Amino acid sequence: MVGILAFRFEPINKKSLLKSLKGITHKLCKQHQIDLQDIGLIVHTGTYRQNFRQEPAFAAHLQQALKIGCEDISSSSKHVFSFDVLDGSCGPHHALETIADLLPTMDCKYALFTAGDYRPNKETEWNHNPISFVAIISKDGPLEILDCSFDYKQQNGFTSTAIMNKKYHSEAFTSDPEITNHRIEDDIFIASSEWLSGEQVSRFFEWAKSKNGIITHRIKNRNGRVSNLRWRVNIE
Amino acid sequence: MNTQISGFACYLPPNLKTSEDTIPFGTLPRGIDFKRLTKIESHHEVLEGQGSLELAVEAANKAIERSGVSKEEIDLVISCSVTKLNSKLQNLIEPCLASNISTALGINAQNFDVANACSGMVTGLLIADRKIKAGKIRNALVVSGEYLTGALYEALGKNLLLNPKALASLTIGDAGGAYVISRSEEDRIRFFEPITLAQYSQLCIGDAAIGRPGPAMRTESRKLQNAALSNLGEYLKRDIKSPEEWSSHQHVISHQTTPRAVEKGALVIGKALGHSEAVRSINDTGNTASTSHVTVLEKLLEDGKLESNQKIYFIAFGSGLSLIGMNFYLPLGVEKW
Repeated sequence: MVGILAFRFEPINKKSLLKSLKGITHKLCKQHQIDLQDIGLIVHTGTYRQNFRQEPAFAAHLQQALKIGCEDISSSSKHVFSFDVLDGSCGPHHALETIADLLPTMDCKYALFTAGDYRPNKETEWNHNPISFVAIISKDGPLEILDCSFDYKQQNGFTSTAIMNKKYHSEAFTSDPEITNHRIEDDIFIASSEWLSGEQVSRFFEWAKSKNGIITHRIKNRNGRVSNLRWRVNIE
Repeated sequence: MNTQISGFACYLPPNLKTSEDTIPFGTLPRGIDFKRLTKIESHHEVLEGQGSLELAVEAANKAIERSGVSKEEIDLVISCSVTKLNSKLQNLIEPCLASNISTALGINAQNFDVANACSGMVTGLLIADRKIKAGKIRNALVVSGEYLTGALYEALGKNLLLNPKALASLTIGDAGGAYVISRSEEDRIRFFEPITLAQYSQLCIGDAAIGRPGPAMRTESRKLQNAALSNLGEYLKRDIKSPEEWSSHQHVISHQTTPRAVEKGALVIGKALGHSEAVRSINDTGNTASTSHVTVLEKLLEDGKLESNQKIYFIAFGSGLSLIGMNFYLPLGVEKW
């Protein structure tokens, strides 16, 4: 059993994603008296990176900014493992499930899950107001990750690529994205396909914290891929 | 639940380029000979119409066939490429590359991308291993297509005396790689502690190129190599308890930056645990990023050096700086592939 112990988010506005995530991670840990050095796994998800960066993982940059596990290896040194999990707006579900699979087998107390996006550069059209999101995940958090299911049968031909523009690469689409509007049906939170990763999880968890029992977060992203992540909420 | 590697394959596009042709003497500043410096003889480049997707699909089909697992039995596809480029050097953002690979292969399964630089495939194998052990899936395809040579030509377009961080881009080559990981009666895979030494995360950066299509890679190669080598011995000694345990590995395969760097790694390994003669390296592919381990395995297979139940040790290094060790037993019947 693995669950979310605490979370925090903020609009990125004109900050860099890295600075925003660093800041809210520090605030979250202070608020909940969590020692940053007890984090042993960092998994980040998002769709867009600065100048469409491909390596290293964004999570490694964040680990460096947080200064955790940044010492050379010795027989007694304590380390962190960081990487990114990506699938557009559905990325948070794969990333959270990956943490749920890895954390129980790791020798650490907490995992840090982060979500957020950069405007890649000024030549990329940008209609998003990205939100940075962090969550501390433990082996007994009250927002328990149950299981994930995926349905790709409705996937459409929408694709997004970064192509050379004037000086920089910018995003180009093959067709208009499919729009799914946000709504709530009983205990299923259906997200808007226009939300980026940070907004997906921040809006869901704001809703989830007032719930109890089993709830579902459904994301149908802009090319029709659907994922459902089920949770058990045990907040007293 | 236990796990095994049931299939693996590498695809090298048949477009072989020698180092003399691509990086002739005089390309490097101060009269340095690229081939003498790196010991790379040649690398492979994509054919017209090929990109990351096509390289990955070629390798995946071969790995699935060798595994004996049907596509209907694959419940997860993880793409681990550093590059997600189509044949026009356009970077695929959405859907994820794993989705494109799954569609091309006709596999209807959960799929997503993992980004962890050159350690991506070993990270993907670790995730798949844990999902199988948790009883969530039966088999997974861990796959990568590395269309890297766009970065090589980006570097060749620069004045390398003024852009020394572009030099490492000259060592790369294109390849596809894939593994099928499956349930097993006995445990045939072991992962060692995965570590990211993020104090070195700025030493190798791969971005979209500025002013031209495709990627650009900037690396402080000497610092990165020193960081990797100075941590390698301690990393191995943390989990490998004795030289006897270490010498049970028939083949030790490190990330292949250059044959010269692998030689240096072998010296560190020899000093830490001995048995450095098991360290393998190849000189005809260049650095193929996340696919480099499976590229060496394929070469050993071609040379008739792999046998059922041989024990292999992988040490993955990637920009970040990540280090992940794993060992596994080769599938039964590998010599007949």
